[in-house]
Amino acid sequence: MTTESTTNLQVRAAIPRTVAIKGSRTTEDFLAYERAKKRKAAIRRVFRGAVGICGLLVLWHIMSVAYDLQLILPTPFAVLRRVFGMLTLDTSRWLYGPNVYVHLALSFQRAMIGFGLAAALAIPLGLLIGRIPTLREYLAPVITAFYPVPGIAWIPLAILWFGLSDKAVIFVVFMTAFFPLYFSTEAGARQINPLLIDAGRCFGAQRLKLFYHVVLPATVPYITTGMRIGLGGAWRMIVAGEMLASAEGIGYMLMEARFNFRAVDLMTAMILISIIGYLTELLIVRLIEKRTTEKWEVKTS
Amino acid sequence: MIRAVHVEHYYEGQNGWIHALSDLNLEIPANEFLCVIGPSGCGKSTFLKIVAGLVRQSSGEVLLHGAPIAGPGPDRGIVFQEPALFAWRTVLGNVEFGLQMQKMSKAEARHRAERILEIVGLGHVMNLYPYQLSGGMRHRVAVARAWALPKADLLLMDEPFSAIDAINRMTLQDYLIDTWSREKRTVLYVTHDIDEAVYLADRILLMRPSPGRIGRFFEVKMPRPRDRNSAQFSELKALITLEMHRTADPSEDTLAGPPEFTA
Repeated sequence: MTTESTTNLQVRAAIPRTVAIKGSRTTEDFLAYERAKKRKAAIRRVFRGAVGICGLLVLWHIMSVAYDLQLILPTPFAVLRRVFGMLTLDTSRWLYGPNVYVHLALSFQRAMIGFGLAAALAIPLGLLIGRIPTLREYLAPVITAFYPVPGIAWIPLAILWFGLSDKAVIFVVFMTAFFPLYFSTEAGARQINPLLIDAGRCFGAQRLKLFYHVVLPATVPYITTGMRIGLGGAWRMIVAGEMLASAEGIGYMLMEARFNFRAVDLMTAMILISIIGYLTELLIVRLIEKRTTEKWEVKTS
Repeated sequence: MIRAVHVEHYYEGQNGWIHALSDLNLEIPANEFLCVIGPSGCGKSTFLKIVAGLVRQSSGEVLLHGAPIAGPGPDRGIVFQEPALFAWRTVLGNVEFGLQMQKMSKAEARHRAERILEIVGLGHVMNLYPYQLSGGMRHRVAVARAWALPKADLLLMDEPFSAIDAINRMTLQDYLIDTWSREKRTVLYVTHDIDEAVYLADRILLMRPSPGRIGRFFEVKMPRPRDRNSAQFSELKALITLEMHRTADPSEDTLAGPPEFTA
């Protein structure tokens, strides 16, 4: 008797809790169930992510306080206060000329121009070289030769060519963003299902029309991948470029903070870079994906 | 309509050159529904690709309305084995594709595409993307896309329904024959399914393999819609099956019956 009831209890406990559905199960029930499941998963994901971040912050705080490192490793609270202070234009101990938005805007502008120029050249070039073997034989060695040179290695030459200016920074951003964009686009264009090209030609698309109406849309999943990597590269390089070749921008702020021994400002600037980089990716790549690959349900193979 | 004269074709295989077509001579009159069948390696798809302009024959001539074929073009509609739809275009956009490429006005292209989609019974899914359709529907869109081309009086179909399950295939065949009966075109239909060929064709060409060449023609005069269970239907199927088995053996050079057969 006792054993039986215990077993019963155990069985009941083992049944996973789901959304209760009474009576017969309709499509609406199913959809509601699916929605609830998705919502739960989303909440769980956010919660777990938050735990991870909090863990890092706690560790950081302990390190800072326990080893008395506030000068070179300020506490998370100090940094968060500074982030808030900078964004609300608090001028106390402001050593960096114009306000933070001006620096961010300048960096953003340079990153976008460099990235935009890279995309404007790399995407058409990738499509053409991916589809035209003769062109590939001529140009692939040229591009491969430049590829191993890291973007940062271009900075001295860029300063020599363009001086300490916007152009120098834009140039190194361009050199960094170009390659991932080009290589993804080229690979995507090369791997298009040949049947789609045949279909395009049979239905009357030739040359430029074929590129615009078939090759380009068929390559979009690869292009967005290239954009994501290129954009990440652009943000990394904008900071390096501005540290060495500019007197404004978020990279310049970083360098100045170091000269002034202001670890709190350094870390603040780093957090701002992280945020703006994330937002840019969201704004550009996610927007394109929403309007293309997600709508068509296509993925890179 | 189409005239093939002494067509020879070789292509590079893994172990040297493959003789895909040997001295192919053929004439397809306007508005005929010709099914080409034969075992794999008989060159039936190669011939279709030559007519489509996707492959150039090694020698000989293929004439379309008396002029040699120079390349692919919208004067021929084509349906591949896979639907090969453009994933980035809606159903309507796919059907409009060939029309837009020919500088047809936007309104006219839309009107024509919509009308064709209504005819093939896809009016209700016009604004969906290909991934939202079932396999059978995608094939029907592929047929509609070819059918919509205004100047295409020739339709090339390369085993268009071979990847579809048997029940859906029959439905698709009915759609095709129904559409064709309403708006006659010349159809060159490649298949390896004897049942399908007998059900659809005005005339069946059985090709022989290694090298690919003409085997035998079968005229099919049975009225449509055809009854798959009729004695006549089964008889013709049996005959073609027998002939196909005989001709699959390259050493077998004689034919079981007269070179032209009418059912």
